Amino acid sequence: MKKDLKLQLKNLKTKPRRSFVRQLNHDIVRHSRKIGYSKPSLLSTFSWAIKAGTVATASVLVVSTAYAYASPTITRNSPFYFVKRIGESVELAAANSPEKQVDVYLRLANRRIAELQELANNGIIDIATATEVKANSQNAAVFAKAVPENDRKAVNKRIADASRTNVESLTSVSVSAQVKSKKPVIIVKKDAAALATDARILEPEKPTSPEGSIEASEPRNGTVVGSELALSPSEVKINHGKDINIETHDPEIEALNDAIESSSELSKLDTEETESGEAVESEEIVDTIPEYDPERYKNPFKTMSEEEYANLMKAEDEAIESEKEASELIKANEEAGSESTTQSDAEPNESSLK
Amino acid sequence: MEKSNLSQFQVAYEATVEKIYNFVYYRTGRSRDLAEDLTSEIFLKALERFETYDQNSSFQAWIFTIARNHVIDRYRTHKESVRLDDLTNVLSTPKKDMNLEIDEKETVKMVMESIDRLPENHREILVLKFVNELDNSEISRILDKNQGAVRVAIHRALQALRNILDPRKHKPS
Repeated sequence: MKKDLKLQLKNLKTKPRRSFVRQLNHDIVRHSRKIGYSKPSLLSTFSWAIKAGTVATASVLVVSTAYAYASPTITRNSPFYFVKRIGESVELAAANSPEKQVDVYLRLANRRIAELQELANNGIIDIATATEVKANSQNAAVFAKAVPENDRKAVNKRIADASRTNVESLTSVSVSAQVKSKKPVIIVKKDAAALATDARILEPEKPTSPEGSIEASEPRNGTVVGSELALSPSEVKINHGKDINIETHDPEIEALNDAIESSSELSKLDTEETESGEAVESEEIVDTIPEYDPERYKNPFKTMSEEEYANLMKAEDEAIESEKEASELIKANEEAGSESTTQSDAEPNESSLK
Repeated sequence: MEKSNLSQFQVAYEATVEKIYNFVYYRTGRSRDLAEDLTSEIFLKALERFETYDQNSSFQAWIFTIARNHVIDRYRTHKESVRLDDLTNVLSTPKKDMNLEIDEKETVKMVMESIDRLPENHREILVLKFVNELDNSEISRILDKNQGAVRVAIHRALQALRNILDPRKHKPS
């Protein structure tokens, strides 16, 4: 019975008239304006939907950021690349000491190299990404200078170690990028015997081949056609007594080479003579990263025109010829000089005997 | 409290308007017009005072406290023209023949009329507890009593209601 009575009491609920509720809603809004409240906006009316939407969007963003952030497949030509960059901006902003900033920049350089490799696999050499590797490495070295002296040695070692790894990775990227991108090659008409192995880089320190031949320091997939070797232009040096580096004028390869060179310099940061940071090219933080150029990716297999190629070849031939002439001239002068020196040396001896 | 929190007030108002109306309805002896007037005044007063509301506390307890005080003030101000107990006694006078067949609707009506005959404090606590389904802690805050006193008050109010509904079974000892 007790329960029955309580139930009966609960059933006593009455609903106010709709007209009253409507009027009261209206009165509340009107009164709120009178006492200084702003008009309720649609935003507040649908606040629950906005909150739900915000949570859903945030979840999607978190997941996609995590994916984009970690994945090397998200490269500069990916629509999600901006997500990665936002994550990295946050990472940089959160680094609250020079040492942490060094670590972040090293991580960024590493990430850019992974992206370069991914792009290279698709036949793309991206100048902006390559330039950023250099910029990030340089920034790491700049911030290392602000690290307290006690810790600086360890930080410099970290940079040097990372840079050594970067040189190896970038060299590998450079090779695969040039192969995949099908860049134009230079036909070198030289000694067929020296072409028996596929050639890559002629090291000035190893001038073991006869004058006028080319030397291979590492095997490489060049194309041997009779007595001609087809090589990627950036990789060819020809030994004419003095090594001649054929300038490629290829901005993509140059950007990669710049990054390699910069990392190579920074890899010496843990040696005594460079511990004070001489390997750092600039004291300034490098923040000028080339803009992403979508035109570049419309034709990833962009090659030189025949005319450009012919001009390049002509220029290279002229350079070789002039270098050869200069070399012969120097040699002739040296021979003439040594003869006259021998004569002048002998004369005083004769006079002294007299 | 910032002025921009009107939307927060609206949400709370929508959640409590029916309860406040019910509370006032039974407190005023089931006068629909009077309950509407008072409910409207209560919410407008609450809107004006919303800046003083502590967001960490129960909005329901806060608005019921305002409602209760407002009803008391209203009858204190108008005691010469309207007396709550007089009004409720008039309205609660049984008008139906009790011998009529009692269906569910009639039972509700009978309980309703019995409530009207209860003293003001009993009626108030039964409406808060059973009609508005507030918990004892909220009722204790509204009535400014401790929870033990609220439990006792509810028990007594129910006893009083039973006495009205069936005086023969529940004769005072």
